[in-house]
Amino acid sequence: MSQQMGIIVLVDNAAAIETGSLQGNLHLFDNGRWSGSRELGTDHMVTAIDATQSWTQNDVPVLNWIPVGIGGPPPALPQQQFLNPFDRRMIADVPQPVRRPLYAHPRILDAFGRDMRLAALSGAADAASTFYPDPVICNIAGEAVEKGVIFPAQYGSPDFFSEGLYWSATVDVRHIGLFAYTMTIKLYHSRTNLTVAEEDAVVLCQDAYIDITNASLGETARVLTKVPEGLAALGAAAAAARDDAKGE
Amino acid sequence: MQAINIVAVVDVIGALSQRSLENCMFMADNGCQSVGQGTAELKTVCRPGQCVAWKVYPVDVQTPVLIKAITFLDGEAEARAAAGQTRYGPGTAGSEPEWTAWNGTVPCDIKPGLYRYRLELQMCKGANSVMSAETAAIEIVAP
Repeated sequence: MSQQMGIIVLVDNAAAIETGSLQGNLHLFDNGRWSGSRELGTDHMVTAIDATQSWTQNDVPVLNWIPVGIGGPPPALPQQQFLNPFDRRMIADVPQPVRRPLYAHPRILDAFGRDMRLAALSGAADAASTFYPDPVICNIAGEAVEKGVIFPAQYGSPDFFSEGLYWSATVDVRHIGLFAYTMTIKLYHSRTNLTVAEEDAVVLCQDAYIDITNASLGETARVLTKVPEGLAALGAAAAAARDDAKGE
Repeated sequence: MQAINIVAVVDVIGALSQRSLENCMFMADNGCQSVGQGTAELKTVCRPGQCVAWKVYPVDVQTPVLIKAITFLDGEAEARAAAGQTRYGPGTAGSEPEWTAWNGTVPCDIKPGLYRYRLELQMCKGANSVMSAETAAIEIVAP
């Protein structure tokens, strides 16, 4: 049976937008630990594919990428990108206070007698709140695509995860080896400051890998490819005879 | 204060096959001081008064997984957490794998320190469908 591999692309949206990089702010997970996937939970996971599990052309492994935002709204919520301003405000986050250094002394009070440090922690100092929808995969390209190892495309789905669209790829298991691919991920964010909403998006790239192996050849395949001992002896004898003929 | 979101990603078929969550569950959160991102040994740093939300996603979208319970292993923390914990989402585990989140608020007068918790996950129904991991913790620091 073909292997349906799920690859969860878990992104810390706020951190990725603030640092301008997905490195360290993205975690990849798949269900291919059985075929030897490694570096799970990192931003450079290696998805292992057992080429020997594919017997026919209709039976190739399929990779499915599912982008998820750590602080994002639930996947059952439809049309995240087109929420009205009220709903957007309801699930918006105020900026993480611990990301910014606190300069205020614990005992410093402001003109109204409020503890400035507590105000900074509670986010009261920030009128702005930011809404981070789930990340969107824009493209899958790179070495593996150029070499014809994977054939990615975007497909429609009746499921709510990733807005009813998801990236999927079939794998050509004739290519044995380690190949890199690049995910292009778009992170939307809308910052609401009182009544003004600023919409913006950043596009970031991250490399991950697929490793197509035939190392775990099953017992059946090993028996089928095994040369019977008698045949091997005959072959050796024939080769020896050929060498003798050449020598003469 | 911004809520901290803790996400657990589970290879459901893998866990059911080996009857354990070992190496089949990975966790990450969006706190910038947390330790062990991308592993089951996630240590989430949070502050008194902060809201903490747990979510669980299966790697294969066709497999259901729900959070059945979150239990703090320290007695005092358990009682306090139970009081502040709310559960959203479908009530019947195993039937509708839609979306379930568990929320809690860190009590304002709790002592700073490390609080380990048991995360119980339900995958479908029947014997061995509930598995738990006691590897994750929240670390409460002074505000």
